[in-house]
Amino acid sequence: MTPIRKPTESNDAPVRARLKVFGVGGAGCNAVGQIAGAIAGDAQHPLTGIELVAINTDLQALSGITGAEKMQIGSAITHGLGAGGDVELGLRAAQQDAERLEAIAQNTGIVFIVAGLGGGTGTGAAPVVARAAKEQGALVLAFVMLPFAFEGVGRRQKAIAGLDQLKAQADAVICIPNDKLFKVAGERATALDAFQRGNELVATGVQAFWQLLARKGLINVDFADLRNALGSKHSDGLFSFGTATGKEKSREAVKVLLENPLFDGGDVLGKAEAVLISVLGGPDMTLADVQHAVEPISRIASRGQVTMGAAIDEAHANRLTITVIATVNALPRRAAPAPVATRQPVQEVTTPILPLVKPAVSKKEAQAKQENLPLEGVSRGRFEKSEPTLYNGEDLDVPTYIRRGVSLKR
Amino acid sequence: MLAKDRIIVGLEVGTSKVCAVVGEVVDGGNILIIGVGQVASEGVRKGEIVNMEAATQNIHDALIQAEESADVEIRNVYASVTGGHLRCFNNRGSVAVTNEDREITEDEVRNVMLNAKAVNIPMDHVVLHAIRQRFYVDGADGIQTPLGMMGAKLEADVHVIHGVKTRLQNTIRCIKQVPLDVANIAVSSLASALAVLTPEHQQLGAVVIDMGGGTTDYIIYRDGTIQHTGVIAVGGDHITNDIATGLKIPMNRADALKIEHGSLELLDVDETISLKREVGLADREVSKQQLCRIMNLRVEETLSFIKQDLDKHKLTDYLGAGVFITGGCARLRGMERLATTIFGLPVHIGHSHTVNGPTATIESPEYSTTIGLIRYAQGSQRDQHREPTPIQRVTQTFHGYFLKIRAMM
Repeated sequence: MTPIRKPTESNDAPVRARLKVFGVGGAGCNAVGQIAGAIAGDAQHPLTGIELVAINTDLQALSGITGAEKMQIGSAITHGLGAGGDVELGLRAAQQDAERLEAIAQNTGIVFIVAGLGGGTGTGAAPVVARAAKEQGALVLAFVMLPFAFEGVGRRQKAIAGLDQLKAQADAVICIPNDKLFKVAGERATALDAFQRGNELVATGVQAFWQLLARKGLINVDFADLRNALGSKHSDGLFSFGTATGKEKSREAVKVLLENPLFDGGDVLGKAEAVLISVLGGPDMTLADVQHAVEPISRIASRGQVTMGAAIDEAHANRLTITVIATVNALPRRAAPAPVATRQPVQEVTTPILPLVKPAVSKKEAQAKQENLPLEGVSRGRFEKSEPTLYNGEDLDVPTYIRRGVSLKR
Repeated sequence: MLAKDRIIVGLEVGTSKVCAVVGEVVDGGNILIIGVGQVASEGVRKGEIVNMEAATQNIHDALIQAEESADVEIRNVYASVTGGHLRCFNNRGSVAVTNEDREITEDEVRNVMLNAKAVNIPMDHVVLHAIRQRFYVDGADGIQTPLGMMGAKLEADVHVIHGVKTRLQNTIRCIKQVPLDVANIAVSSLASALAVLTPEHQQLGAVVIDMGGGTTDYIIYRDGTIQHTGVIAVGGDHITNDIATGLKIPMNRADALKIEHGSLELLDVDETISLKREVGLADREVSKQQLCRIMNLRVEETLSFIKQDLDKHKLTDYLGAGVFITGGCARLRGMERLATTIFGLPVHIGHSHTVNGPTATIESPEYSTTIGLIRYAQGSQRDQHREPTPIQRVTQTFHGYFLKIRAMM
């Protein structure tokens, strides 16, 4: 893998990895457009300074977007029209412009790909974009929206095929099934509202990463940590967040997070291998707040390797936001390139490039070794072979007294 | 000789037992229990079949027993289904009344129900029940039967219960292998409620918690209609497993210990229970305090989940008749007191007093689902012509499903 920044570039100021958001296809461009609009309308917007790129085959759709870099692909094939739902066409369009895609992804630490699957451009081009970014050494995370069930079986099959392609290329893929938007936005929300909420979700996800890297941290997470946690996992992701205010804000925020429809009972978190917890609070945030926020989540995600960061934002006074991104390896366990993911990148991007927080790294290595302890298997007893009963992310098959930490006096 | 459809058989393929109850509809629509068959279940975990062969054999044995005890021949059964995959929600549908005289007819009612059911559920799920709750005519609340009323807009609230189609099919497939016909299926909580609650209870508002071997099913009635349902895939099996893990004893010993000495009341003074030597198992002494603590924690947690769910849906204030606990775990010592402290409502251990028959059967909380199935059958035979029954939905071929979607468009 190529180093992200040459050491010469990093002078005295701490360097942080560049982060770009690529919106691919109609839905992706809409999301990027909405983020761009939000940033333009608010000078204090937390995502100010982020680089946005809209990639589409459809020239007309691109022309409606302001505030983002625009890139038309496959002009020789589609002549500026959309891919018309043809995945093959979307794929070829992206392949034709692969070099330009690589150029645009150059020198970028993290690339977010935002796409709606099921159509032509998003489904076909997103894997190519992911590959191009990957070849430039970026950490590639994809946020994809799956079609509504009512959009039909054909579209869904296309989306699922595209998802598999994307998983093979990207480091982590976080799915937001549109069906869940109903739950987020409420049954009676207008279609426009629901899609807007979907885009907001993507923005929140991007923001979680952005603030992890950009904000002055109480507990710093840097790019190396991220890469360590998410790199080369080709994984399924879960994404959820919660915000609360008031005295008990950390506990409340966890509650909101666990009740978020996106969390979906915490199926993924219970099985997660890598978990990223980001806590954002105001200057008044205490270490106890952070602890109360992180502890319940890391307890649920006991099987995984937890990376956490806490950041402070002046505008976030008396408020606390927790964002959780968890990933489960989608490939069979043995195929996972574990040694590469856990060690190599750490060695490569050493101190002058990115400030490494030593304890975090050593702690993580220790945790990575613990992963295989058969603890869970023992306590699940009779239910060892059955699918775990997950309720708010807790595995109820594990005896209550163990989960509550009640000691049985001998 | 009895007319065929006066004999109704309820069958529950449960986690701890497979149980068939034979009921006879006597004059005036009352139900008399005339036979019971029951065997220990070997192929079910957490309410779902994991070993088809064992389950089929168990069903066969239970039905033979039931046939013998009732002296009837059983051809078809009503079966209950459950499992942690079941989900529910409430939805409202609406249609405009378009005919000239603005009278609400069967057509409008049918359409509004279709509309209320047309909601997004995951691809692999199927609607098991769509239960009508109440109608609104031009916004006027609380109408039970809108037929014949005048209005411009008809709305209906429904409670939809859905689950993974393939998992629901497993139960049906097992019964068909016996071979037997499945007349209809119903979710366990609904069946239990029909056995335990009288119409007065349903009107006052009540929650029925059926804590069985593998799952805890619950259902909430308010103003005579079903307001909410739920399944937590935790049951008596979990209690036994907790005991086995905590006291380091085998499952069968843990189960015996739970039944003989277990209690949900926490003890101040410890007692020692000596386990007698059995084949292959040595003498052991265990602490009763620990046993009760393990059991208390598990049941307290499970009931608290239900309490949280009630609070979340703001239903606690509408449960005038209180909490009815049934299923095998209702027999646990101290259940009534523990549930009272959690819910702060009157708690009853559920007996199936809506039917007649041998007291031993009716007063056993573990039979309420099966007995309730007979009452469910009675109801569904009455309004069979109306809508596709749950069994039709679950066994529908894909082709048929497709045709239906086309017809809806």
